Amino acid sequence: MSDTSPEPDNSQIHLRESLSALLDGEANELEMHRVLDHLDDPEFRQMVLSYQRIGAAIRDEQTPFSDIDLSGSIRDAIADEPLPQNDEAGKSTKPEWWSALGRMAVAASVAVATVLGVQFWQLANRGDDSHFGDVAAVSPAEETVPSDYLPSTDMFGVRGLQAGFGSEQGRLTPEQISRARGYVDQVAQVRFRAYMLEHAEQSSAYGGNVIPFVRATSFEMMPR
Amino acid sequence: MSKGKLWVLGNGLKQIIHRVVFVGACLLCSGFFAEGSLAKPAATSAAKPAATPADWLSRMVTASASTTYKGLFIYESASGQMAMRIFHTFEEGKLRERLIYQNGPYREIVRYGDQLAFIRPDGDVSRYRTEGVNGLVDRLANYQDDLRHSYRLLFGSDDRVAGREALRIDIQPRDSHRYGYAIWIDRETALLLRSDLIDEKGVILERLQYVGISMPDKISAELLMPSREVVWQQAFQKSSDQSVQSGLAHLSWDTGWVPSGFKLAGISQTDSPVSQQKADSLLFSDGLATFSVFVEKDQSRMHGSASEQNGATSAVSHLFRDGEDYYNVTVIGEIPLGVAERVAVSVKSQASE
Repeated sequence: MSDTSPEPDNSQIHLRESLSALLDGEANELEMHRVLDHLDDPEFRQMVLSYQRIGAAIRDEQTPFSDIDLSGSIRDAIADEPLPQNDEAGKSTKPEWWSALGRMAVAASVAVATVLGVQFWQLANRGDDSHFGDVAAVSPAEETVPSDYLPSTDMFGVRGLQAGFGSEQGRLTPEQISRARGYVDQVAQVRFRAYMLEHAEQSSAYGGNVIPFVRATSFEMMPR
Repeated sequence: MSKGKLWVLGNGLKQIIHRVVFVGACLLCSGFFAEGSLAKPAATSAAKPAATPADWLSRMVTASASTTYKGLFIYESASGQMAMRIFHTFEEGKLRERLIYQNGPYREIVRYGDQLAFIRPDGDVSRYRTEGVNGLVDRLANYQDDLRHSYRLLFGSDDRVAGREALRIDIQPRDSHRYGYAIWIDRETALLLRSDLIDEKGVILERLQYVGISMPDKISAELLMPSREVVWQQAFQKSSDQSVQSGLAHLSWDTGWVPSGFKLAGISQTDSPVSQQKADSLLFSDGLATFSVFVEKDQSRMHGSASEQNGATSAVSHLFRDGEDYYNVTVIGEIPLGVAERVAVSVKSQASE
């Protein structure tokens, strides 16, 4: 996908704002698509990655690590499934976006997601963010979790839950965990939106009709 | 702001639609068997004789690839309903199609040959092109066999859609790995006039229905002109079957379980929306339903299993591990969610076998 329309002058500003909103988990559908549509641009892609590297955890100042029972808080976090809501009037686009998602029912971000996200958070909180996108930089965190506990391919997230008992993770606050989960949900949503269009485009071509594309675009900005 | 109010209204509307759909589904079920058992020879009375429901489906496919038409249709799904205006014609053998959303923010879909563009309300144009997929018309030879393997095709009753005589065909799944359909075909032109997608409980998941359609000889150029400039690619190299084979050879992963009747229909690569990685994508089809499997290396470790369902579309995101590497697999398609999940969890690296 690529943008073929002439850009307005302030499009770069919009783009940055959209990206920032996306990474804060506050992007509306329009903002998300603005970001998605610009991922072809290598420069912008680099910017996305550097933003990602910085991550919400770094924006969140280092909170004193409390001794929390993580297994419990993950369970609570999952039971507490309501998606992050934003009541501030100034960011009114968000409830609409999430309510649309609500219909699509983001069924679950299973604990394995949180746990893997948590490793990212730990690393970020150590201040070791310089090579964050690199596999090499990530690997030290991996050693802290026994490999047996890492998610296996034969189960659907269930076994990953045990990784929550890894020693490293006792240092996280529930806020950090819930932030991680929110971010993970948003990433899944970005994937779903982008790949839904991709899938629709391919099956439109395959089936010789445009219905799949109508379907995929129908729940974007559906009038209500 | 008024948004809260609108949302409440939307909710109410949804419930009403839901009820209507449910009642509709019940009516459909009660009619289903009665109609299904009376396989009608009456269908042969059309201008061009077509003996079986499968013949009618083939005719339908050919019709849309050769007929100029314009009209208005309503698309309904779990997320609401909308009306669209469509112009459909051919220019130097290439399909030219323009769809304009009639509700909500201005949006437009434009197709030219095998390329497709989506114009968003803020003026952004997203352009899509299709790689590694052969159009349905190219595959008509096997089409009927593919369909019969997975579905029972039955004549339904005569009906009227968009003021035109329509023949209904019920397409019942042979197992629980796919949804069913009811489609209404125009008797005169064999164009699709209405299509319902039905889940295993008989609930209609989505419906597309024309409210008006006509077949003019010609559609004027300005009606086909997109509202924003779209730059089409001049020469686009379409992947051949050979490249499908070589594409498969390059994959570092395998699909494990795939529901019966679904065959590989296309292979391509796309940019991951969340990383600098390329994502491999495979398209599977059983003749009517399709799903895609996307696999990409996942370095961020920020992703986990998630799933969602919207009307006919199921989406599952899942992580698997290959040694020190993590991969994200995303399955999206018009199949039941449980089937999509099963496909997702059975994807594994080739090394692990």
